[in-house]
Order: sequence, then C-alpha cells, then structure tokens
Amino acid sequence: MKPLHLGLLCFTTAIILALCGCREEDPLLQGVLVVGLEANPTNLDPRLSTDAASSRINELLYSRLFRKNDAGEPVEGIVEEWEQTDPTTYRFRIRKGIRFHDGRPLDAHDVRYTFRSMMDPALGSPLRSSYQMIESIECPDPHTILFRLREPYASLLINLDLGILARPTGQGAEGESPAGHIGSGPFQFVSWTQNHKIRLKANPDYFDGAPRIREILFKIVPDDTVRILELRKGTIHLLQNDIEPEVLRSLERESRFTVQKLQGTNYSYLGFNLKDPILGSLKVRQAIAHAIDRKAIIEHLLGGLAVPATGVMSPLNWSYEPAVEAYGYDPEKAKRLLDEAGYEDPDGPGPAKRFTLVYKTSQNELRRRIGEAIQGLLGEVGIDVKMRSYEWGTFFSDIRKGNFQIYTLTWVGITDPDIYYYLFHSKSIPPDGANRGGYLNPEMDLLIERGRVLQDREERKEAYGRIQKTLARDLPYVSLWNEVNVVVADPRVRGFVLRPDGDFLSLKDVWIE
Amino acid sequence: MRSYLVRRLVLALPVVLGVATLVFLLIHLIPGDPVEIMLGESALPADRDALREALGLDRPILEQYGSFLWGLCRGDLGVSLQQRRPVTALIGEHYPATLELTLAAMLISLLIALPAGILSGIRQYSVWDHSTMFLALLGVSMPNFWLGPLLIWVFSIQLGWFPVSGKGGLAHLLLPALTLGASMAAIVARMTRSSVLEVLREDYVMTARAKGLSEARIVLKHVLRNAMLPVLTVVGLQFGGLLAGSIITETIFSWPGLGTLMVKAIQTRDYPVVQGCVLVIALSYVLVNLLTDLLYGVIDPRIRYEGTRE
Repeated sequence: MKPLHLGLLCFTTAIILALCGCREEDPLLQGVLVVGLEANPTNLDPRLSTDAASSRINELLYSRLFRKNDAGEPVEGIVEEWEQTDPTTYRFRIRKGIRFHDGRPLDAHDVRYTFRSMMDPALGSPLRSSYQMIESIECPDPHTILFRLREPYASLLINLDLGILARPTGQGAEGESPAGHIGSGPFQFVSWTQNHKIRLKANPDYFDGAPRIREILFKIVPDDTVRILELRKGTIHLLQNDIEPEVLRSLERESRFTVQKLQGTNYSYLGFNLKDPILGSLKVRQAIAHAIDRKAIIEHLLGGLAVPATGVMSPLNWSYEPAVEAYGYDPEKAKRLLDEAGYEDPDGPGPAKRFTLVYKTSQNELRRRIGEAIQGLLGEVGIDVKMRSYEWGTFFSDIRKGNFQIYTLTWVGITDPDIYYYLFHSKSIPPDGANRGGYLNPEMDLLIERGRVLQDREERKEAYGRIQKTLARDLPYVSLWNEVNVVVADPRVRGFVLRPDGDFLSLKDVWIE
Repeated sequence: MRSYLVRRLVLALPVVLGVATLVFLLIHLIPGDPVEIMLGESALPADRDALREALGLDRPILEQYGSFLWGLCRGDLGVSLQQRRPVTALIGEHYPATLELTLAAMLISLLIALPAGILSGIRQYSVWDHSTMFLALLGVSMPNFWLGPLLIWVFSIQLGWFPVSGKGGLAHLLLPALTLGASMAAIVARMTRSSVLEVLREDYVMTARAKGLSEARIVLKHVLRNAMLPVLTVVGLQFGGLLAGSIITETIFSWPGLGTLMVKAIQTRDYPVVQGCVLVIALSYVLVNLLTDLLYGVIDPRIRYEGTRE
C-alpha cells in the first residue's frame, strides 16, 4: 500500500522533527522571567490605553511624575521635590540625570509634551477628561515644571501617574504614537508579536536602581486552563490572578509553587436602576442587600478569594470609612422590609412571588454562577429574578443606556476617592459619567464637590467618610466584595511583592534563586 | 479553461459583496458603541462627538457603507479603532499564522484520513475497519475545546514532548494542527471509505480483476482516482470550515492568528477589523472552492470546463 506507507512515513518524520525541535532550555537559567498574561495589550502608548494588560506593561516601560502606594497616596517618581505655591499652582522639580531608553535625557519639556499631547482632542485619548482641570503647563527651566489649574483640585498628584514619553525630535505629528515605545522605566521594549508575546529587557540606567533580572517575556495565553498548564510545565514562571479557586487549591498543595494572596482594590457590586418604580423604594433595596449571603458566595463560588466590602473604597485606602451601615445576611428582615414597602408575598412559601426583576450580567461563566446564586437567594425572600446574560459589548451598552433593573459589575483599580464624582454626582449621569442608576442627592453633590477642593487631608478624609456613610444609607449599590489578588510563581522567583491594584512594579526587584 | 476561471472569479464578486454587506450591517446593528468603549464613560461629550466625527461614525449608515465599499475597491480596509493601525497591516500580521495552522491541520488530517479510509474500504468489516471507524466517530464527536487541553495534558505535561502553547517551530504547530484537523480527518476517512466501497463494486473494477491485475494495481490505478472526486468536494468544504473554525483552537493554543484578532475586535466593537477579518475568510473560502472545482478536471479528465460554450 504505497499511499499508506507514504502517509506513515511523513507522519513519523513530522513527529521526529517536532520532537527534535522542542527541547528548550529553561529561560529562567538565563535570567529571563516568563510571565503569563490573559490578554493582548491594546496599546503600549500610555496616553491611549486603559486596559489592565497595557497599564501593567506601561508601568514597567515608562517612569512617571508620581506613583501610588498601597493606600492610594501619591509617592514621588521622577519628581525630586514639589510645592503648591497657591491652591491652583503646583511646581515640580524633575530629577536630573534620568535618561530615556534611547539615551536621550528626560526633562520638563518631555513631561509637558506628554500631558499636552494627551490633552489634545485630536489624539482621542480616553484619559483626557481626567485632566480637564489643568489650565496650563509651563517649563521655566529644563528641570522645573509648573501645572496651573482652573480651580483647586486635591487629587491632582494622584492623577499625574501617567507614563512620560520622549518628545518627538523628527517631523512626527504632535500626537502621533512614538515608534519603539521608548520610555525611561525599569524595563525597555524589545519586541511585541501581537496576541503572542512581548519581550522587555532590563534598563541598566534606571534612576531608581537597575532591575535584578535580565529580561521579562510576557506570554499571552487567553485560555485559563492552558495558562495553568504552562505554569505546571514550567514554561510560565509567574501568574497573577484569573486562577480558578479549585485550581488554586491544588497548586497550593504542591511544594513546587509559591502562592501569595493580598486583598485587592477591585470592587464588585450590585447596581440598581433607581428610576425603576420598584427599585426606587429604599426598603426594597435594603431588603435585597439583606437577602444576599455574600459570605456563602465568597466561600462556595469564589473559593474564599474575596473579602466582603462595605463600600467602593477598600479598607487599605487612606480615605476608607469603616463606620458605615452594614447589611448582614438576614432573610427574615428582608421579608419584613419588603412587606413594609408594600410588596407582600401573595402566598407565603408558595410559588407566587412578590415581584419580578430582570438581572443582567455578562457571559463570563463565574459571573453567571454568581447571578444564579443571587437569583436563588432573592427567590428565598419572594423576589422572582429573571437572569439575562449578554455578550460583553451588548451588556455594557445596556448598562450605559440605563436599560436594566439590576446588574453586577466590578470596578477595577480604584485608588482615589474622587471616583465618587464619576460614580454618584448628579452631573455624571450617562452619557457624561458612570452614575448609571441615576442616583440624585444634592447633599451628596455638595460633599463630593467639597472633597475635590479641600486641601487638608484630614478634612478630606472626613468629607469622604460622610460620603461613604450617606451612600451606605441610600444604597445606590449593594457592596458585594473586594477581590483578593493572587500570585502563583516558581519558587526560584524571589522578591515579587503583590500590590493591591495588581500592578507589576515589583518585577524590578525580582531575582532568580 | 481560462474563460471558465474568469467567469468563476467574476461570479465570486457578488458573493464577496454580499458577505461585505452582511457583515457591515450586522456589526453596525448589534448594540455597543465603539466610541464609548474607546474613550470610556468619563469622556466629555465634546470629545465623544469629535472622535465619532473623526472616525466617520456620525455619518448616515448608507454613507458609511458607501465609503466602506469605496475603500474596499481600493484595497483599503480602514484603520483599527482600538489599535489605530491599518486593518490590512493587522491582517497581514495575523493571517499567515492562521493559514499555516489551517494548512498543517489539513495536511495532518489527510495523512491520517486517506490511508485509513482506503484501507477500511478495501478491508471492509475487518478489525482495522471497525477500529478506524470507531476512531473516526470519536474524532467527529470530540469538540476542539476539549481535545486541545487533553492533547496538551498528555503530550506536553505528562510526556513533555511538545510545548504547551504559542507559535514557534514545528513542535509548536503539531498539537494545534492535530486538534483542528481531528474532525476533518474523521469526516474525510469516513467519506473515503464509503467512496472506495462504491467504486469497488463498479464493473470496470471487476473487469480489471478478470484481466488478472494485481489488487494493489487495481486500487491505485482504478479505484483511488475514481473514489477521490467526492472526497475532494468534502476536503474543499472542510478547508473553509477549518479556516473559519480555527478561532477556538487559536485561543486554546495562544496561536496569534486571525481568530484571536477577530474575537477581541468583536468585543471592542472594532468595526473595520471585524469587517476585514470576515472578508478575508470569505474570500479564502471562495478561492478554495474554486481551486477544488479546478482540481476535479485534473483528477477526472472527463470533466472539462467549457463554460463559454454553454
């Protein structure tokens, strides 16, 4: 049988060739750390990207005026010293001797170029609206930069957490993304194969000390199972988050991995449409808050990888207010509140329900399971819940348009309390913000506006404390939980420190043992 | 032959136009605003309007459709809304990987399916036949998202023979190609078997036997050539399916192909990228079908394409 023989011969040859080609040396031995990423970064220009994958890599490529610490407070980056000369003027002194990866020195003109080009409407930066308070940026000398604001804005420093680009020297257009992703961060760009891998190498001249590893290879592996298999095979050395709880438990039992956990800032919540006639009632919202057993969901569905939240800010944040109204799991109280709201159960424990709500969520498997749990818990107090799960774009569009009754979502990377303006101010109702449920409270508007302009930190903390108490009372959201960040790594990888916002900055200090 | 080719290519134009129109309409009709996804919820209304205008999304849908078609005629598929790079460049970066995977999957599946199917046909009801057809049933029934991780677990983790995922040398290609090609191998093997069986019952085979030709010569010279026509049809159709169906396999094996690009583009409502990817896949489908039709003539000289004289 000639065709058969030929076929077998080709197949065997292919297998042998493949086997010859797959013996690879462990990159860790050559100082190359392989980090798993779940998604391809959208853009490595810090002015244009907001997705997690891009932000995490940009933090390594570009240095910035200020960074955030674990409490969400600004810490000097390339700024040596600074002062606020009046409520609307900030003067920053840039460190001398900082160089971009191509050898050019970084100075105040590069800082001004970065911010000005980002604020240029022609660039279409998604970050532009966060810098509307800036009136002008001046460079009195190459190492001094002045930011003048239109009005006092207490959160300016935390907003200066933007990667600094080298100003173009050629004929490139003002806003054009510079080629080569040249920054001045601890790592420099080497190559990027779209949807496959990104290679960075250590910047030996980094102003805050050179990294201890030679290279980082970010491997983009979208499939959760395959990412874990890569880790098990040793072809990925470090994985952060997006690990199934059951898988994590089995990895924890093995001595060949180190596991770190830390409460993060990602905040999951259940949002209400306050314009809805049923959900406009505070007693109904309170009943729903009491009917959700968050501890059980965390334990059984999230594998303990979350901590019940009391509000948008995590307990790690400097502005966190612990003394807010809490809504523990109490189905009996929930039923009483529904009765008081005028929604009595028509047949007690029978099949008929008090009313029906439509619950919207994405098609993410875990989100759907959480939705089913909430559906069951609300059913126990007599609320009929119809769950609808949609493809992300459709789901998000519905939420933006106010086309929902209840939904669950997660706010990612919350660090500054000025987010309350964006979430709950009356001027932030879509399309001009994210007050999607239509929460209107003049007292809240005043408090939020006060928090923005107060310069004294204690006064600000007090204002944000009142905001948190008011929100817990008015319940535009039911706070669900703060996710726990997890890192699983090869035990030879030492020195990685988990951060609440899950950034990769500590890769600079990682060494291989 | 040439006139037939020209006629087929001209006839392919309405198909491509139809696909382009359908994709354009579908992607614009589903909910989700690319400007909101790009700028986020905090964007100022003026910025949102400015970007919508810059991207031409504020124009009437018919006008947008017109400029899309005009661009298409000039080979310009637009600029990605998310990555801000020409769609043709993005497709140029991703399409070769998809084509490589698809061709490898087809090669592997043919290398498995043809010998297996032929042998099953000529040894009907033997142990070989039963086991091959059982494996073919398994191959058809196993979904990619299950077979892929299973192959990784066995060949990469337990045996350590292949890399888990990614794109590199031949070693990186084998498991994804096998995953993608498994169901095609199963279908082609079954088709080959039944086609061989049918031809074996033909009079000219009996004549060949009566003439005293060896069994090997009968199979190679008379059976195979005649049995290949229906198999070729299935292979052509399956190839198109492989091209479009590589999305799941690409995701599992982190293969940087068109599927990965398209899934992300759909999620972010990156209209030009979705349109470009679907068009390229549709065009490939049309070309493969044309190639299949032309191959009929090579395999069976009785089939001639004298389209102009019809």
